[in-house]
Amino acid sequence: MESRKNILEVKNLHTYFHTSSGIVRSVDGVDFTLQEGKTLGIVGESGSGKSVTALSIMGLLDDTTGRIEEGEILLDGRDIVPLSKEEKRQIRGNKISMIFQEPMTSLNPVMKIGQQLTECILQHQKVSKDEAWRIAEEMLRKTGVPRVERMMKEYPFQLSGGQRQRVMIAMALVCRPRILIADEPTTALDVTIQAQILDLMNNLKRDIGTSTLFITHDLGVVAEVCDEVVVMYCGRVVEKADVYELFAHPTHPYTKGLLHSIPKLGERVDELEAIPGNVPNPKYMPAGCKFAPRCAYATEKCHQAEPAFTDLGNGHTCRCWLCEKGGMA
Amino acid sequence: MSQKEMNPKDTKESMQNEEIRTPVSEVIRKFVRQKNAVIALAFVLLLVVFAIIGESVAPYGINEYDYSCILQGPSAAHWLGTDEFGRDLFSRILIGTRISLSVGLSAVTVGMICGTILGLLGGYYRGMVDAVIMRICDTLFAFPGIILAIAIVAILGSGLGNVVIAVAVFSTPTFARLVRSRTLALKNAVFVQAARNLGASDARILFYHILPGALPEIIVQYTMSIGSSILTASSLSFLGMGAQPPTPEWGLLLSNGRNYMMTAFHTTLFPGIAIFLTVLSFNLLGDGLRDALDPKLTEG
Amino acid sequence: MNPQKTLLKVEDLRLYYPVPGKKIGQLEYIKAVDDVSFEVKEGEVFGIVGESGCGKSTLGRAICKLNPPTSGKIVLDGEDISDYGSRQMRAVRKKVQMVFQDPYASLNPRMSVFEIIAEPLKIHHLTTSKEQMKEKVLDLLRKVGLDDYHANRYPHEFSGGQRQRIGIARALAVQPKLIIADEPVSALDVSIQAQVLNLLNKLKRELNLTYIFIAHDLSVVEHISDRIGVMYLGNFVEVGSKEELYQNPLHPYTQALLSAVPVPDPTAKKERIILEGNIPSALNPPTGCRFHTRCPKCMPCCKTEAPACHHVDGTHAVYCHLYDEKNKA
Repeated sequence: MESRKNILEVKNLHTYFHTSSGIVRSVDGVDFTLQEGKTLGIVGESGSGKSVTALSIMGLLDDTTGRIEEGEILLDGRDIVPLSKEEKRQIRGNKISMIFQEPMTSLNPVMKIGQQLTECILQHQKVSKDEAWRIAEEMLRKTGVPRVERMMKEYPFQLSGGQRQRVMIAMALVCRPRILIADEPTTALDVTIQAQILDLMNNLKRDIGTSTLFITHDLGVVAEVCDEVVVMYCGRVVEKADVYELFAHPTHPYTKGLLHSIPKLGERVDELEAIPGNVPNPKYMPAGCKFAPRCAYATEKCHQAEPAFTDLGNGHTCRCWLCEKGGMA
Repeated sequence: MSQKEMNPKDTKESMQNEEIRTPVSEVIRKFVRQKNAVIALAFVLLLVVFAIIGESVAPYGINEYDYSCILQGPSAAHWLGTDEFGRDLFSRILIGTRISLSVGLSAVTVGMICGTILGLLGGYYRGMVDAVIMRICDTLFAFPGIILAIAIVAILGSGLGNVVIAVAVFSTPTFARLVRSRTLALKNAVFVQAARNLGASDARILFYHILPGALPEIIVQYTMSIGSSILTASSLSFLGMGAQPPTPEWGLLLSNGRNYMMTAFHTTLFPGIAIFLTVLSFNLLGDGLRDALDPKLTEG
Repeated sequence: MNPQKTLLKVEDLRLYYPVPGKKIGQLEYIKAVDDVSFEVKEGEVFGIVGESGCGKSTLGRAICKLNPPTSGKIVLDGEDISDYGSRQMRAVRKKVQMVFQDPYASLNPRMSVFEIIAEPLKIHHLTTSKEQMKEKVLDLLRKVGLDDYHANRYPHEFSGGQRQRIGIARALAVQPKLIIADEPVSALDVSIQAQVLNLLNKLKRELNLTYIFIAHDLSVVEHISDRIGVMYLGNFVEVGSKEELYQNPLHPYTQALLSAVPVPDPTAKKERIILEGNIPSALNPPTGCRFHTRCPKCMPCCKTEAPACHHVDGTHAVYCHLYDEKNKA
């Protein structure tokens, strides 16, 4: 494996929300590393803490009840957790930028596309207005939208869902950020449009070399765009591996369950292997392994104590008592 | 996989142990957290008690003339002083509570019922029904409330009963508009469509699904309107169009006291305070209910 | 499949929404469903797939007259319900029920689960006593995998999957023959989707139900359906048994759609057909074949003539000029 620079390292991240009915531990000990030019997928269902992890990295928790209680987020080796609001704002858009699930809510409805794109450039770069406009146009063209000149003068409501998502991507990349965080960027889109956007993201990775953190619940999408995968459940990372390894040898019972529970094209089964039960209520988190109540292999030990990571070689790690003992014995 | 296994232990236990959180208990939980609103509620309840038993606890009768002590300031014998006929002001205000409260309550109740029915019909059936209802409401809205009330009383003649009608008429459009907009929104809610899909009749949909959904707004508006209606009713009496002497209506007390404001300020001050506190507490109560009933706050 | 009774027959169904036109007082029509004909046999699952805006949900609602159709014929269980008014439809609703997409919006938040499930029983006077009603409701709860104690709870206390089970129980209360499920799992987490799909399958077997299953997820539709119709801009482009349709897709749109589905296998080789552009507006659908604006195999005749229905064999039908006699050679 070639050694690349670690552009983003998240170490032992804990983000808690302080609500009126108690503390919600949304992210509770998350570690991962994003290498330069790679795409890291974070997979998880609702409540797994994947989006909160992204918000923590973006420093977007200031206006919520959420706080990073513990842990480090190293951007190019520098911890960005203790930075001031103003310093974090400087990083956002410039060094890290984000694409959201619903493009309509993240675009300003009363500003023209061109204005929104150039504003972003003018905030972080010392260039003239005309120069910014030119950069914006060029970026928008890279995302493959037709009639760029006209679209720069249009408003978000005049665009289709796929076009809006392209504009969002252009906006996120226009300042050449070191890292792109994409939070379910294709979930709201149709399959044929999703295929266009995934294609675009793969092309941009090749051409510009963006390092991407790709958050999704769709394992099919993960298989298409990611190099490395982190599987999250209840605020924890349960399995980490490169994408080929993970799909070939899923080890954690939750990862296996996810892979088995989705119907696959061309597969004929009468019954899907569903994961029983529901994600536990954050108020009643189980004591041991958080997945134990839904796990078919759970033993007494699983209900009592939480397992640590076991290294399975090749950068594949898994947080399960079963691997610790070596196999499924 | 058997169905039993689909409910894992943790969810089941946690849910079974938790007390049932009905929508009503949620609202109460949210309401008692707000100090202002709880104090306002206590004051409103006190007013209601006075309205019921005022007559029997008042130290003097409302028409007990005592010419030996006219326009006296507050004293041990007359807590809030006396008026130009030597009548005890405290007793008159206390007993007047019933009049002010019942005028406010009955007028707004009539307005609420009419407005709710009109709003439900207009919002649900649209078309001509809606157009006619809303144009009438627009017309009524075009008049300032007090002028409208004066006009109605001018037509019907003065007296408390006509004040109730006047206040009811001008509070109806507020409710009609409010309920109509909620009906329009809820009519297209998925659970209302689901009910229609089950074969529910229009009446069932209106009264089981849409009305309960509009109820929080209606309750808040109702509470707020009582305050303003008491104020309007008092204003009408103050102008001589409502209650007639010697009724101890608060607006009338204020109006009587006006002549002696320079020499005996208490004759205007205390009825004024009574009106002020009553209206204020109804508004605070409404604010508190609004926060307690707001579904957005309930979700969190 | 042995010849079974036809449960639902839809002929030339149209549903146009009037919208204000460009000139004052003039009306234009959104052709959400345009000239759709199909049959559903008793005991089968008929899947309808398509992208957003193709009219699949509107079609489902038109069949049970939740949105009244503009014209066309609907025969349900031998009864022509085309001209039924809302009063007559009330009795029909015992035969056809809907399961809605959003389990958070489809349950009245102010009613307890018991009241929600008991409502159809009350409307159709299906029980004679309180005890009988209670028994019936609890029985329905158990049937969908919930417990007795859930009856006194309110919707906000349940997870998405559990709410969808409540919605299914409510639909089952009237003992319908046909259930129209409009995207019943698309709002749910991956691990919960499989539970609900399994439940639907189990209920179908136990209660001898017929489903019309509407979804945008091709893998999910393939898993649950026997026959599938692919919709584009208000009408079917291809209808066939799932084996035929997925292994031998004939229409260029079906082919593109299938190739766009992300496969959860990073080693899979993808020959992806990327469709250009977006779905045209249903206000002014393209002339001729509606797909011609995006079709990679568009021919001159596609722009002017609407394609006829070609029966490839017993169950497989396609609407495309590629299969015209003169083009076949």
